[in-house]
Amino acid sequence: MDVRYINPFIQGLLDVVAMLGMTSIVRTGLGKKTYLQTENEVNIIIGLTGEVKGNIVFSTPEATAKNIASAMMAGVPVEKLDLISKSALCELANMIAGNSAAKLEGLGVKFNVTPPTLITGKNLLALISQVETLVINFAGNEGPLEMNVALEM
Amino acid sequence: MAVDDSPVTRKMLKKALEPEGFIIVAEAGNGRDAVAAYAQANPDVITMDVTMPIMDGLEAAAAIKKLNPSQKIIMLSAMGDKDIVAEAQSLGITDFCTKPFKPDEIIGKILKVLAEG
Amino acid sequence: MSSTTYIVPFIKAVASVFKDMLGIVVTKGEPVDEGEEFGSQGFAVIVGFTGGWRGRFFLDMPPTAALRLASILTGEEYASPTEEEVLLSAAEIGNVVCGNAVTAVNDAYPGLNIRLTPPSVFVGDGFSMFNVRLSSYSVLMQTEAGPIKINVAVEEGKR
Repeated sequence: MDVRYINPFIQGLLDVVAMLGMTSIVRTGLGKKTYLQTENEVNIIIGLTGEVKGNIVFSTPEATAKNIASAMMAGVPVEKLDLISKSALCELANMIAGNSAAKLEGLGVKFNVTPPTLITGKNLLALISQVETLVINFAGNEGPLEMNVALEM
Repeated sequence: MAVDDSPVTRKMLKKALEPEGFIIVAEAGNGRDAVAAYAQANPDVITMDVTMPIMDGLEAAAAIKKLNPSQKIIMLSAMGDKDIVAEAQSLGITDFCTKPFKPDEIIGKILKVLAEG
Repeated sequence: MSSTTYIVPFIKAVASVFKDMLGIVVTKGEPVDEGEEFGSQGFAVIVGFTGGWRGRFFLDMPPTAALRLASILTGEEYASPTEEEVLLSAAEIGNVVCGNAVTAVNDAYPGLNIRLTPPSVFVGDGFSMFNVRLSSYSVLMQTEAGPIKINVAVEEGKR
């Protein structure tokens, strides 16, 4: 995976969360995995087709997800992850994908995204691609957030 | 030579073809590796998946045909829509097999392509 | 196009692919409106699509069914649904089913140009899937490998 194509996704996430008022979120790490194995209960998958093909999974613990949903809904406290807060989280994933796509289009790379699907559960193992998964770690006041990127290009 | 990004498919091809006396001289998981392995492998026939990372099957087929226009290639894919078939035909590839393939089907196509000389 | 139209090509593809690739006969149930969220039986193959139809396909089953399907494909026995070949076999089945379904739709409706994402496979206890603002239909199919549910969630307002 070419670093040139990963940076727009990293920057896309940082730009979008900052725009939503979550200005404390920064990138904390970078790694590689074969599988996505996570204890994070909230995972949002977005698929890509076109010149870039693959899957991106945003992964975060439930507590952080509630904090993020709350931040997106003008600070209204979120007790439970209901359909409204789940929709908000999906919207976040969508915005990040859209923002990253716009940046990549600037580099001459075009792709289409699927709608997001939010998967909630405990002790999930996922195979999200036949290629390696790049794990980008972020953290902020809301908690930790991971972006798992598996792109075939 | 068996080219497919799914190791399971490559295993299925082996299972179907080896008992019939075919030898898989090389395997590749993407188009770029296929082109790189091609000269050394010198296969009689290549089964080439269409959708693969890094370099897809149509691009790899085009590159191999440039090296050797008479190389026999059978495109193997779950996606067999008319656009893809048309593109393969424009490369001079006339043989297509859709997934799922029955062992008889793929064996038949390989024999047919080899008989064409 | 009525909402159940989207799932029909996938039902056909599952029936024919399971028969040709796995030698399994599936008995089809009726499409059921699933709404935005549904629970998994423990093992789910997910394939996204873009283009003329935007959405996601799910092939959902209990882990025991996944073990069975993988064994049929490779001829080997597996103990855990998280083994690499079980995950890869399921991904391949999902890929082929969707490839077949989407090829049929693309050929029937030129210009639709639906394209697939790579498949992903999720395994876990009691997880559920939420598709925001997508209308989704499920069909539960009975097979000798176990109950297999397919769900197709598509963005309305296209075709």
